[in-house]
Amino acid sequence: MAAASALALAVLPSLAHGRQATLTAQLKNYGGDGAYLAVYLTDAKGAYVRTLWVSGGKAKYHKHLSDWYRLSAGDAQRLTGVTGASVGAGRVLKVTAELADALIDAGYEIRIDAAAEDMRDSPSETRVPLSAVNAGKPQACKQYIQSLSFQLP
Amino acid sequence: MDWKDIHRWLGLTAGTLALVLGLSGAFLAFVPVQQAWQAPAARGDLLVATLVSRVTRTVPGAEEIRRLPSGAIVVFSFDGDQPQASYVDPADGRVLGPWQASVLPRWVKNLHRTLLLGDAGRWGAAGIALAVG
Repeated sequence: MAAASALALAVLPSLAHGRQATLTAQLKNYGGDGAYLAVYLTDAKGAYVRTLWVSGGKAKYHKHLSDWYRLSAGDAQRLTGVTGASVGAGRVLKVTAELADALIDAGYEIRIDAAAEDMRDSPSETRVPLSAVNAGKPQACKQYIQSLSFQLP
Repeated sequence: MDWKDIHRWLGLTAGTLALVLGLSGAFLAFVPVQQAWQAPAARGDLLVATLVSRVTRTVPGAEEIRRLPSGAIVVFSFDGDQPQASYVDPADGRVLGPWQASVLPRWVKNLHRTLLLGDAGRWGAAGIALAVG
């Protein structure tokens, strides 16, 4: 029972004691149409925990966010309340998410998959360990995003 | 304003938009031709496994191989942290030169599809195409 409630705390961070984290992703001028982005959380074993945000509303393109699409396949709620428009080249995406204290410094990672039409898919555009020392430090990404940083209050 | 004015302005507006769709479509039809000129097409009987083994020999960090509408083959890879995209010769995997998603065809494609007006423009473009047809 104790194990089950600990799991519930980790999986449903919004119900647990948590803090409002802010993620900021600055996109590169990659010279293409608006990017589809999936921001999600994985645990210490690399397993999917939950989706924090998905940019880009056309479901037929979501498979190009391939790691997220595969890992989150079992989560019927993955798009509920966390979708927005695709993000243009050079623009900034800001996401706020309630993160339980238990997730910080516990091997969890913030991951982003990115894709834009006629350009390469970039699964795991970045993987940033969710640790207190990383907070506020811009992290380099691969193809579409110049840098990602997150703030913990 | 009498019927003649309505006829004139409706005709000029719809006609201009139809002309834009026609010209942009004609431009897009030549994009695969231009790609074919830049790189040879893969033969229809080329096995994917063969192509993969050729490409991994010449582009060690290959992550994705894409066949363009012209049949040309583009390989995506990383050189350290730098994302790379190159045309390769499907016959031997030789790297032919860099590939870049070009900006002009992208803009023309959006013009052709949506008149640069997003999803509302899609319906407008479709309506004009239907009216012409």
